[in-house]
Amino acid sequence: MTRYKQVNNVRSPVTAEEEAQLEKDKETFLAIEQAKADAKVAQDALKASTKAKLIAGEALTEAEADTIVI
Amino acid sequence: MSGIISDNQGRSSGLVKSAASSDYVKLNTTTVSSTIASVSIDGYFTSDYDYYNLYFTNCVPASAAQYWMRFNSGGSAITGGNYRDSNFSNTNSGSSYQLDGEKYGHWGTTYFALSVAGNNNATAAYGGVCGEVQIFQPLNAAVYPQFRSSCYGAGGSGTAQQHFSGGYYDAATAISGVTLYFASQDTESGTFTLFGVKK
Repeated sequence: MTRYKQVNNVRSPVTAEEEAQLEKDKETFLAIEQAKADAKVAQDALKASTKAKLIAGEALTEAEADTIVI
Repeated sequence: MSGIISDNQGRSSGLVKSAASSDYVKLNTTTVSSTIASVSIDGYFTSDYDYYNLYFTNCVPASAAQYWMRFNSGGSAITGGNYRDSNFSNTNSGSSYQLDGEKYGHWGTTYFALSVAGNNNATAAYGGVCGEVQIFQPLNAAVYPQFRSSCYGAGGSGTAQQHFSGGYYDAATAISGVTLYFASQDTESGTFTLFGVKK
């Protein structure tokens, strides 16, 4: 399906080069969103283990300590 | 206003009052009414102005997405990986009066992000994303072109989101305009109005 762009008020089909860039942008966006989601899952898990260890009086790893030291 | 001069304003003949001059000048209005991949506002930067405001209103994506921007050079979007920005977003999810804030930055990407954190809602009734981009000295080829923006939009799940962004293109160059688009999604509608502030 042909995609279009609009420059000021003129609508025209995107070029092959622009279409390739749009696909590249989409891949970039999805990769960034996945990386953000993965980082949040990892951080949440780290905070959960930190909390559990603090309650149990166990030693923290450096990464876990980093979650509570500002 | 009083007297015969203002009374004659708008008449085609006789003693006619001239239009009020203004240092804040509307240069272009672009309306998107059918689906497009991107919209560019280009060719309106001149030596008459150093400072521009671009307002975008009710820009609705085909599916929930963040709003991105590129500078243009010679009428085309610059796709080099020299974009740097910093963004702050705050979000009200409606479950409490507390806001969630998120900070992001881009360094060496191929775009600026005007909205980050959650995506902008694609439901037209939410009004899409609305906001403003300020552009400074776009024709000055001796400096890195800069921008700052603020925008509002409902999140993908209906949250209230506000985004602040600013940044520059890491190369001294003049720019001829801007290109705005939703990350990974088409734009279904929106209105863009460019103003210049006279020197």
